[in-house]
Amino acid sequence: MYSEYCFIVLLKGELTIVDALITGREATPEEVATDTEYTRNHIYHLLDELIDAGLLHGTRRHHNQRVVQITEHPVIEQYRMLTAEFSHVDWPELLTPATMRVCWYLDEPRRITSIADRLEISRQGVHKALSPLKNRAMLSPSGPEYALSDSIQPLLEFIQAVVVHDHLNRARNLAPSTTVEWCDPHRALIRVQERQDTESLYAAEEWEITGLARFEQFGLQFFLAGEPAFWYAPEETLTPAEIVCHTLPSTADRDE
Amino acid sequence: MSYSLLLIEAEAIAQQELMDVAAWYGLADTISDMYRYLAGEDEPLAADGIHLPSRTEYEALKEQYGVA
Repeated sequence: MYSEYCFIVLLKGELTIVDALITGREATPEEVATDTEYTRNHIYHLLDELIDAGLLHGTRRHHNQRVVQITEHPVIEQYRMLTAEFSHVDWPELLTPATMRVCWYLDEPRRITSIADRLEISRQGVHKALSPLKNRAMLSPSGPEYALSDSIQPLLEFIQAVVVHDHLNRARNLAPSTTVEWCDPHRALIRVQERQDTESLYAAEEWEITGLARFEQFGLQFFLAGEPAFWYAPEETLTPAEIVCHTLPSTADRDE
Repeated sequence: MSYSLLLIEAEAIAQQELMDVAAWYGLADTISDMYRYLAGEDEPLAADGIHLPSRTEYEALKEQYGVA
């Protein structure tokens, strides 16, 4: 079972604040507290998290009063599109981390068992995560498989933006030159441009060298042009099969 | 591509295991082509960004790295 720390910065509280500020207006923490009915202390904590994640920026108005405003971050832009098209849906209430994780896999028809295995949760857990979407006819079941309805494509794009952001945020804390080559909610394949970023990731327990640079472990040593690829899946063992996939050139053409 | 073929052979990675993983990366067709190549069924392909080595090149690489 994966722990929550793998994912996701946008929990209900954070999403409620983004929702309250989605028009782009400036607001004081007190105004946000009033709009969201959260306590002031809770608001300050959430605002700091969102500012750290680059989803809000904070400035000072006259009398040194703090104000916040959403940024033009891809996550915000995708959420804006989602809420513009589906303004009648209470997204902060609906989008639990579990629902977002499961939805990630609904870009194509998939079996519940396949998603459950990949997320290491029960089939009941997948059904429970999907139930708010089923109730709103956002799923298109086809036999034993489920996918998101074509009409709800903005939801998929928002979740993809959140997941990529989550991995980028984590990696760039250690390695600012990171780009994400491939990811899912619990795994990320990244590249860096700078040697010092390679050294930082190499020293970090939860990141592993993968791709061609990892072949040395199997007695196959090749010349490596540029920095090695790194793999984030701290609760899994990196297998030779995964390494093969991380080495194939077409990997770089998918996702980010 | 040649190096990936070497690792598949060196570690004797089962096709089904690799296919199961590759599906998540959208690489199932590529892996399928690679196993067909290793089984000697197909000549090298050059479609969809897949560039399998010539038989001669690959045999030379195997010999160089001592992969049986």
